[in-house]
Amino acid sequence: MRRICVLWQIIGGWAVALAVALLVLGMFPAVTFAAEPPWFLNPASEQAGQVARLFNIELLVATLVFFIVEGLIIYVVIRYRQRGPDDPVPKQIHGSTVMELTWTIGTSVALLFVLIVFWQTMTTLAAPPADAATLEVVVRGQQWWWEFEYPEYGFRTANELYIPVGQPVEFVLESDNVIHSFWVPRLGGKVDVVPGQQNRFWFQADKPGEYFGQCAELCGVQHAGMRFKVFALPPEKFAQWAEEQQQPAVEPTTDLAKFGKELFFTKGCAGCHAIAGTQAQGRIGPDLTHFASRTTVAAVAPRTDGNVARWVYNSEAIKPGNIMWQTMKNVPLSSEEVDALVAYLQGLK
Amino acid sequence: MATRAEALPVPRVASWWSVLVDWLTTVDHKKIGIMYVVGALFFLGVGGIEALAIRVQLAGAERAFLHPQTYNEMLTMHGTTMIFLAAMPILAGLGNYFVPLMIGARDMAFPRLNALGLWLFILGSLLLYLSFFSGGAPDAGWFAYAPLTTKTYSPHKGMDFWILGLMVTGIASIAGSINFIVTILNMRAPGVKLNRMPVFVWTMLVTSFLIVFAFPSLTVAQVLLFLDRNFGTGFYAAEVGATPILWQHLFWFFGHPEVYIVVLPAFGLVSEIIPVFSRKPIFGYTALVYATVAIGFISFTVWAHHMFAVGLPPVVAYAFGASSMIIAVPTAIKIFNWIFTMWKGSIRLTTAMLFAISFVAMFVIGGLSGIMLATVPVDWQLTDTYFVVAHFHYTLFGGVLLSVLGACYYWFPKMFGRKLDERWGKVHWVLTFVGFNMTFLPMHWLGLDGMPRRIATYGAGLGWDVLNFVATVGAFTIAAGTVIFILNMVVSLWKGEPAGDNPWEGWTLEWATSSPPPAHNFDGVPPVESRRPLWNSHEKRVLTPAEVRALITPDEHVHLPPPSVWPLVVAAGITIIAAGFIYTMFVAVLGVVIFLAGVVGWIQQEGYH
Repeated sequence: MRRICVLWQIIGGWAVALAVALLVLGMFPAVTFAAEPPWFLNPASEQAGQVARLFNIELLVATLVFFIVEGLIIYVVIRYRQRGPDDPVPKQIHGSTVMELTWTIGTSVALLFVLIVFWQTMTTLAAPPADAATLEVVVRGQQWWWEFEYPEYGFRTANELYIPVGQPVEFVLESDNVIHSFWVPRLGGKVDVVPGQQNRFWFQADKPGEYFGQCAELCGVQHAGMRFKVFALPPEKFAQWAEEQQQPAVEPTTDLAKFGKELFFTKGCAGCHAIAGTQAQGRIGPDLTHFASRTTVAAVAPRTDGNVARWVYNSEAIKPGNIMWQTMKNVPLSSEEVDALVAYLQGLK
Repeated sequence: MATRAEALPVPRVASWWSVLVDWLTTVDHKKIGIMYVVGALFFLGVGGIEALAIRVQLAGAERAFLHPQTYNEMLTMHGTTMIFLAAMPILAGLGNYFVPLMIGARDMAFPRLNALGLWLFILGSLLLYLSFFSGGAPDAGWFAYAPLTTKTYSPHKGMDFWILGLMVTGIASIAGSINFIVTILNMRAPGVKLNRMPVFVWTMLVTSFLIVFAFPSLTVAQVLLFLDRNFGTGFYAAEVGATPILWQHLFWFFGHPEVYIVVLPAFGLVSEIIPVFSRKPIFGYTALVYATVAIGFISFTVWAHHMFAVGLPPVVAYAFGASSMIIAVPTAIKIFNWIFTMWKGSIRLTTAMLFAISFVAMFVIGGLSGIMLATVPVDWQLTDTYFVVAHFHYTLFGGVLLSVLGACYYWFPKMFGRKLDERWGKVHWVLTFVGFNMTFLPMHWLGLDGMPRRIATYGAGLGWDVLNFVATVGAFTIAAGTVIFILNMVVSLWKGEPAGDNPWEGWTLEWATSSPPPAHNFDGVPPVESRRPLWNSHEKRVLTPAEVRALITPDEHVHLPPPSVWPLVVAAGITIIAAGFIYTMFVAVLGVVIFLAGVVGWIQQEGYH
């Protein structure tokens, strides 16, 4: 029995050591399992880069402290573990003022260092450079989708944000419902979208690409479905995109799509959705003028014909709890009507 | 008059009814403490099951195990349960049982108020959980940000249950805290000067002050929210010119001290365990106590660090970030003092000690990630991501729960006269320690990799599924350890190794009593001349139980307060009033009647002579 106890003490000590060592090993690998993960330490803007730099400095300090403290714990536990029941009573030490002062001052100095770098980063992120021509985008958090309005160009999109590379973009954040939080990890930190308060925020993308964004404040049932994509384009491509978006919707050409357009009005879609160039002016749901230029349906499913059809007749299956379903569950649609609506929507390039 | 109880009382044949009445009307701080702990462990299990449901849902991308509405209810109830119904009451229970013993007192200062607190905790918790059977549990997070919590966005009654259930348990916390403050300041045995009090007692004192000052802020916030929801006021309504941010200030003015409310007593627990199993006094007692008080004060100046993303002016944000970082100084003092208590000691790696050491090692990690989160620009990236989930689980699970589990192994023998099985205890420790790190370590990377908190699911192809799966396996590892722990407790209660008065060679006053202690705790006033009353400093050893007994002159008369049913009646009245506000005012009137009857009965009852 006693032999087992002694064994346990040894195994116990080494188990602590091993577990902590595994922990340490785990600190480093930037384990990612995707091609382009939204890893914020791989920044695509100067602003996100500043934050990543601050984080890396802190990680360095933290790693140092981690090794000192955990190393000390492991050393002490192994070195001073009781070898047997007859071990002498250790010297009764009550404390040491010198040591208390040492770690108090040591910790304070390390913190002071972090505080300085922290302040430095804060000041560089304050406001966009005054001399640059800033693009303004109004970001509206909805339950559960994002509206992006470009006041300069006079159009609105949903769930996909296009920005030019190399130009500061200033976001005006608005909500008329609950609090959301606007976040594109590789381009900048998050800023809350608060009802009754207009927050402003800016960043400037340095690399063209597609970036992942998501609402970061619990905002109801479909918080998880409130994703968006950011497309950073070279200036000329952005200008071209903006010009396309300014155009009214294309008229349907096939009979099926024409029938779909008719249904769009008779089935009540136009009550919530706007399509520029038609009488549909609803503001409750996303603007669908250029629906077919987007990559997703409702920000969560790829925009295939099948998914658009599913979204039209059973949106609950794609995004449970979504608000459109509250109305659409009472609107029976035949499969032909669904096909017609899909044909119309998929034609809205 | 007073006779010592047998070390292991032979179970007397008592009818179920008399046992039930005994426990329902008891004002004994030890029985109340046990009921607090049992209730809290029950809710720890419930909150754990909710956590498992969350982990199953998140084990892979786009899973549909839980409807997102149910998921939101699970995450809300998991957070609320663990903070209010598990962490706080388990510490209140341990405090209840051991603070009077550690300061040489016969009971808490206000025994019936103590019972009232217990019943309010239990009935308030049940009221909160009634929501599951009344249309839906609260679904807006334990932080309950307006306007998501208003009637428009959370139409079912879940949030009303949240508000009123927590108000009832909140009364319990404040009543308990006042009791602790008075007990600790007034009831210490003559030799137990303030600077001789065990560190655990100090932390309970500071925590009690934090509760008394922090909880009113939560209550005010909740009353305003209740009025907004049910009576059309607009305290948080942007459309009438108010700001929903008000809720966040009021909530976090409570919410951040709350973190220290649960973690300071945990600091106290390890400050008891580590010295005993190192056979050395605590290193730097004075520094530890000052650090505790300092944390108590600073904890009221950091609340806005939960709100860096709401659009605070940069200087304000920086100031709150800096004050949050300053907390690292007293915390570091504590960490080093614990390590240097072990330094040159004779460390016995019992289960209790393993949990205590793990606490120190894990809390360091939570502290370091906390400093990162305190720097505002980094927080803009990491707030509301899994990095934060990792951070606070390293402080709350790695901090509070590990030390509480250590305390369970440490004090179980005192409470029940039998030791918990050490071998199964170590299995429990290994599973918990490994499972804990498996669950929460990967969450740091998930946060860095852009995974927000509180999302019911995530898209495939983001690369989050592998680490989430690892976390889920870790959660079930913890669950396996917990099952072993529960079985260990049940079996050891009947078949555990008899403990004797002082199985660990502890030196604080609770070890001067029999195990379990008699109803009156001490036969007479225990003499105390140092921080370690049971330590013989000449011979460098712990006094034997016989020596301890010889030191105490038995009192001729022992007065104990009589049992009382009135705390239970008053608590029932308050809870029914709360339920009435949710269902119908008629019920509230009934509650008022019961409440008043309870108060009258309470006043009429002869307390002591």
